[in-house]
Amino acid sequence: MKRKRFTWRTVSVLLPWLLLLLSLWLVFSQVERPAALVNVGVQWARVGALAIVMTAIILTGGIDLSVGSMMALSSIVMGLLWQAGWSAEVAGGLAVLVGGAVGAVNGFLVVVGLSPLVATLATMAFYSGLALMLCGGEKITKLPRPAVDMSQLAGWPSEYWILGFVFAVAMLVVHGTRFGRWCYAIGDNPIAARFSAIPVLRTQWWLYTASGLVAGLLAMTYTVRKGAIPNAHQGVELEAIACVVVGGTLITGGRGGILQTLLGILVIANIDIGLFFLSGQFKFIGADARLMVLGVLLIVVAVWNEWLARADAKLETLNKATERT
Amino acid sequence: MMIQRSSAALLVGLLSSCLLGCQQDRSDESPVRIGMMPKLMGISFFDAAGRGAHEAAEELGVDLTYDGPTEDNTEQQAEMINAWVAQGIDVIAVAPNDPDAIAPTLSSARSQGVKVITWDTDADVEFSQRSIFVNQAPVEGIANALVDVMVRGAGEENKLKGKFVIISGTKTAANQNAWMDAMIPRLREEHPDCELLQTRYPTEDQLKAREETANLLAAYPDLKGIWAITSVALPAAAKAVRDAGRQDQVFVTGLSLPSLMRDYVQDGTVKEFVLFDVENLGYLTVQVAAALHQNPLQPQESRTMGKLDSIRITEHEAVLGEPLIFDKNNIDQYNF
Repeated sequence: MKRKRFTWRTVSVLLPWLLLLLSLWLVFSQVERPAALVNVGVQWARVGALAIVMTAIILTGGIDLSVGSMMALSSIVMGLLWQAGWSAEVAGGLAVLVGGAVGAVNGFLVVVGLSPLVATLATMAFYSGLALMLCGGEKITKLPRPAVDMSQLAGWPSEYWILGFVFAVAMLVVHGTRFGRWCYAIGDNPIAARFSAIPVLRTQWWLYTASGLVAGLLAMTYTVRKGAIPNAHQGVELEAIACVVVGGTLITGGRGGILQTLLGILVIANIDIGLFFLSGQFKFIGADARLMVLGVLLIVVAVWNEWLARADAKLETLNKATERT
Repeated sequence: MMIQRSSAALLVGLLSSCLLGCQQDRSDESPVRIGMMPKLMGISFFDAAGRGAHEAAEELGVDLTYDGPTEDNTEQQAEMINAWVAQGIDVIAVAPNDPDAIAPTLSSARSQGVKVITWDTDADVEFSQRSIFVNQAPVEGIANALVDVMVRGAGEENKLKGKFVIISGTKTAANQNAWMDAMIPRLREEHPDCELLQTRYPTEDQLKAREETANLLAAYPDLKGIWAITSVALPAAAKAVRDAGRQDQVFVTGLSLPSLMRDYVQDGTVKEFVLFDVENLGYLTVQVAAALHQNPLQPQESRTMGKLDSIRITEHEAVLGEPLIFDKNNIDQYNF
């Protein structure tokens, strides 16, 4: 029995790393200007930062579908203020606050008792509708140059710094504090968590607010880079969730972690970029084929995780049975 | 933990071998790599341009990638261009969905040593720093052709009299706006009795364009003529006029593809319409891209590029030529 368990564990640890190696090879065997990969990665750094907060939310058994809409709304608010003559820095700061505020609204709805799926599905529609209404459906571009270029920091696009910061904080909080252990406990069994005197509602509220804050931060850098475009962030929530799932965090909560998600981001980003490179030589690898690869990957990982969880549960009952005898 | 550490070591090894390996890959004599991007893939207009592009690529022996987003999305265009830069494409030719939003991506590509040109639609010249714009036809050429066709078809003693209307696409479409800006002053000046109704913007949506036309026909029983100036709007307007049985009272013309208009031209709903040779636009774009890879293009009144002669090169543009006018007699010669 022990022998078998060791094999499963080995494979399950190795599999994502093997995937990562394969995808890195896909990318780096075809790159001629490696320095330009920094630009290619910006959108994935953005998805990654969202995915990391999403991981903490999914660990509690929740989900946040509204991140794209929160970004759109923050971005439009910043664009409007900036256009109206406010300085980019103040407008950007307010954008982050707007993100935090709408995230807090999500948190409130969840705390009140709505299912996170329903609550954030509703606010996804509401925030993006509000963003479209505020800007009249038109994008806001040709903004003046900011005094401080917030899209760059020490020669790197800010998105990478945001990703690094969010990752460090999440590692610390989720894997090093009581708050993190509460997340797992809530995802495992919310009722048991409440009876163990875990502040379930407060934990949830903070997580959704954090998600909004990160969305606001990313919206700020995006707006400085390209202007406020209301429909530019559609679908980013699904990309983020895909990263979490491919990383190996259980979508029903209770199992997974931040480092796994980082691995998921790297795998998905490299596969997507690598396949795009290949599409120049092989016509059948179009955008549609890349989506299909992602779909298959998600299914395989989901089935794999489900299977592992079941094997574990079986093992546990078996162990208990042996203890009793 | 052991496993993780050893795989991490493997990873670093692989990475570094890749980085070293790809430096030696390509010699200087490998063919020029051109990346050409339409606004979106899968519509007949850009399929035709792609055919012309591949024809030129074969003649020149260049390595052409013709790829673009599946919907008219700027963000996807930017991502694909960034990836092309990393991959080592030498010249990028793009038909931007959003002339402003694409600009930072183009200027960053240029700063990494990639030559950037635009085709079909120009990007913001100052911010994008693109080298040259491959223009299908001068704006005035298309605007004049549109007015001339209408005068021939619906004019009384070479003057337009009565109610006319323009149906465009989206409000931000740069090409359509430029054509209208050239048409309207000329109409005001030369045709004072031409009463232009408010321009309609049904977006690039066939159904909406048809509805809009049907509403116009119902609201204005004395409507004389319709200019439908997107490839989607013209067949839609023609269908609405045919459904209403008003072919003899309302003269419909505009810009669209011969393949979409064949039916309406055969049955007489549309007598003449305007467009440029889309296949040749794709062909010229690749020709310009390949030429630009060697030297900057010098302004020239008439230059031969592959099978095309009399291409006008200015400081900012390479112009394909005057627009084509399609009618019953020549429409079958074109297969786009």
